[in-house]
Amino acid sequence: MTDNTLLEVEDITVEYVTQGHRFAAISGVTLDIAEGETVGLVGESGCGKSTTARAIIQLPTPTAGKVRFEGQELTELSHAEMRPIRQRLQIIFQDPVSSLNPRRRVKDIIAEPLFISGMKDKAEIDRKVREVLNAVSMDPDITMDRRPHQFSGGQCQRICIARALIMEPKLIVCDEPVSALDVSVQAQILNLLEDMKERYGLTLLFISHDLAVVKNISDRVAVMYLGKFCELADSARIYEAPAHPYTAGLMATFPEIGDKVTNSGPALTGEIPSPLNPPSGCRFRTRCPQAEEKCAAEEPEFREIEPGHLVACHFPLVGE
Amino acid sequence: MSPAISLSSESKAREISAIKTSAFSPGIFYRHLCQFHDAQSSAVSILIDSILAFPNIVLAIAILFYAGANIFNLVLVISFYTIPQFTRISRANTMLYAQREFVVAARAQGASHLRIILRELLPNVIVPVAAYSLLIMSFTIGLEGTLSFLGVGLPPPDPTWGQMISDGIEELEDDPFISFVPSFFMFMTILSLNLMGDRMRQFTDVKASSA
Repeated sequence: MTDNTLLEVEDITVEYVTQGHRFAAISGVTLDIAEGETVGLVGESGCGKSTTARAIIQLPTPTAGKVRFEGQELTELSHAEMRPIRQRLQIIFQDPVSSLNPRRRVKDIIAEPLFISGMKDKAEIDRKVREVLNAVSMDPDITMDRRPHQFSGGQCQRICIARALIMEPKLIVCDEPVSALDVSVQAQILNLLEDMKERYGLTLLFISHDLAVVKNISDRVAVMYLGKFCELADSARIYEAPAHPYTAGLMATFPEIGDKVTNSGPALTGEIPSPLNPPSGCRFRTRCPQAEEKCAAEEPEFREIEPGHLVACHFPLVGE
Repeated sequence: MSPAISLSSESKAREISAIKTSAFSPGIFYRHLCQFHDAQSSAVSILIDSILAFPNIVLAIAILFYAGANIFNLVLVISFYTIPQFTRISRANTMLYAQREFVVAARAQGASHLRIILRELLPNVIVPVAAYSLLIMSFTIGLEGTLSFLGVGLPPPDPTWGQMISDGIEELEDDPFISFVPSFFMFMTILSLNLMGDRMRQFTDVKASSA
């Protein structure tokens, strides 16, 4: 932990009850994000990436653990106490069309955080809306009076980004912001996020199932499997030398132009076990090519194998 | 004949708006509030289902017979039967929209529950409810007609279509127009409302899918 830590997530667990069963969508997730940093979070569908994102913004509040933002503990705050903090802690969702109310005009959607914060000055609101729309390369004169269904997915995501930016937040949690978009539009949105990061001095938590996307945008990358972190390291390091067999497996499924060696590890096989009944010991052991008895008996600790490189595996592929 | 009809439609209009406001507002608001509180929501659902389980006309006749047929009681009885329908349609739509990400987005911006209900959910839910209310309106006109015809509707001097039809029954062979004219107007009104309602529903469905 450094002095300029913006967000500290400490051992959070989110439990749901379905059909009378309690199960943990995420358990024991710990992560620090420094100011100005971009942290990528990858994993297969259903591994708890979005749950982590929502737990950070306290929707819902995690069942256990602590989330500190700018040094302030969030998990114990009421909805009203959270309100001023939410201005500096924004989120962008996967489906841009679904995250805009179809019955409201774009200017009202973007200005909503201003209304909530109690701003009444119409001219000032108008000025700010125009400013963020310009920032996300949308023409305010054309856009402001339209409704979301008149825009494409990429344009809707720009509107979502504009809405997230209007309060000049410190941290934006991007929950798969480009997964629902065409590849050509993905690049535009990623570039836009990078630009905005520079311009507004943002810190990003960038969630995706797409390794290529995360690689380009992140300083550090965390890999998640079945509700737990299995590896966390600098972006360059994790792509060059993954320590967890799961990360290695993910890399093997991710082709790159000019790759000579396509097998940096065995590709993943099998299905993700149900989170209702996770495997004993290491959660990945049922699909791990190098699982041994120890893996079933003992849950590996999330430990540092080299400076800044954490892994939860009894037999990491690198280090030690 | 014509002043009677115009008078009738005037009182009808008053009656309908009274029925609509009484049925509509508790239906939609209750459901919205309940949406955020599951336990209460299922309690209300049980209540609504038990209202629906009562035999419709028979109970209405019984209540009006004992409580006395006046405009207040009539509005009360008819509202009683339309509340479940409004509740169901607004509940279904609220549940549909409450899952959409823009509701989570609004909460992530710090919007209060009331603000989410008024700004995010209500504008979306009100459209299908408004379309449906036209269909309900024709149903209530029919129900009122039935009750009046059976003699538990509004007593004279307030004229209603059902009562006029009923009055004409005795002279059906000699003067069929006494029953026929109010029947025709009732038929046309219900048909128009149904067609309008259908059209409006189509319109909102298309909107919803393109959005």
